[in-house]
Amino acid sequence: MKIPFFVAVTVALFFVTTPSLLAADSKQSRDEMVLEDRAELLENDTWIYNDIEKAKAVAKAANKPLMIVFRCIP
Amino acid sequence: MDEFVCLRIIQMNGVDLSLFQFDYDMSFAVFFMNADETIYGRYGTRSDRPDHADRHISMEGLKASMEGALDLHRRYPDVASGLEEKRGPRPRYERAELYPELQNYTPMINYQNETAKSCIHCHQIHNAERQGLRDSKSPIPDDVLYLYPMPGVFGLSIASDTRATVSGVIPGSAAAKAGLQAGDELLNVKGQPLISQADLQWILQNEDSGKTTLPMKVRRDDETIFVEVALEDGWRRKSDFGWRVSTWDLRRMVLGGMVLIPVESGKAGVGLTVKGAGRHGDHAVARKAGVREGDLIVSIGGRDTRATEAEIIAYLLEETEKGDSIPLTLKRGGREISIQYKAQ
Repeated sequence: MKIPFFVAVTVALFFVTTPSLLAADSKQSRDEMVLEDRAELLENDTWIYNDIEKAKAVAKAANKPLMIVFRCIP
Repeated sequence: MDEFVCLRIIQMNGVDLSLFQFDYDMSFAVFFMNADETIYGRYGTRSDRPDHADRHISMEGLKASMEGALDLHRRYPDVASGLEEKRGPRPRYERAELYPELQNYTPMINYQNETAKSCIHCHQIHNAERQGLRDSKSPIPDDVLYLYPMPGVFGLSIASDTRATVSGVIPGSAAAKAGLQAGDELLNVKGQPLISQADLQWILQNEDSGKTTLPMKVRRDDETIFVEVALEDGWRRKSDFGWRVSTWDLRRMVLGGMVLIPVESGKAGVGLTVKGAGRHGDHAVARKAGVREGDLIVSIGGRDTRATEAEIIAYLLEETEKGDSIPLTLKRGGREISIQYKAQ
């Protein structure tokens, strides 16, 4: 099964430590990162963003399991 | 991926805690679930080694868990009875923002203003749970302190690139006594199918903290065998919680904001030295009482025998209540200093 880049990135983000987050903060505020992340995912065909009821409805209609990723804001 | 409906959740505001129970100290966690909210499994384990936090996860491991979830989905509802226990007991609060400690948060993140500040982080749920118990002068139970134990507590390690295949067994451990061997694939524990190490930790999290047994269905070569791991009383306390984000708040409660690290054996006292002492607010209590980085802890709260930082925190949580004075004897430059600070 081919794992899309986003999952790889999500896993990779797990490795990020606080110091590197702080380093990132110096370039872009956390608010900006959250909003940018949201904007990207809202345009993404594979991922549903922060809407469990929508995801359940889509999964039920398609008879597919849900994969729900909890990933802290950047 | 096309075989799943993929959902990304970035905050705990508004999340149903009766459904989504996992190790809230994770910064990355995955649920596999049916649309009817039957949980197939969890994925995501953070190592207790700060230099190698990712050692229990991998793309191969995630892929193996995804395949396991798909297999359960194909066999659903025939497998439903084994999945019932994957959903946890009713939580104290159904939503994070209902905790009194988190009442300033709203059910939705605020995308218009101070977005990051409006987010309830996962670990804040652990903090709120413990603070509520502390405020009500209730003891903090082992399953709220020693969260989601690693299988290492009974001598087992799991290969990170598999669903739940044993990579090692410590000689003489409970796992070894049960006959488990490297290469064994754990199929089912206590009736629950396993698709990851996180699933095994889920079972351990919900297990009694006293003496208990874990019946396991195991694949060894081409055979299916059954073993039973016997856990001794106090097994949960073998896990270390020092690495956890939520431990930061425990340090505030009973260490006055100190971060303690071990010193080499042979030194007197509890064998810990002050790596850091908070400088702001409630985390600066120890510093304001006179503690400095590099101080050696001779005794704390009446304890003067060697211990880890986690053991000291657990001890002080048991022995003190909010507002109590904690006596602390330090050694600095060959001189002993006695001070006191307040538990929170």
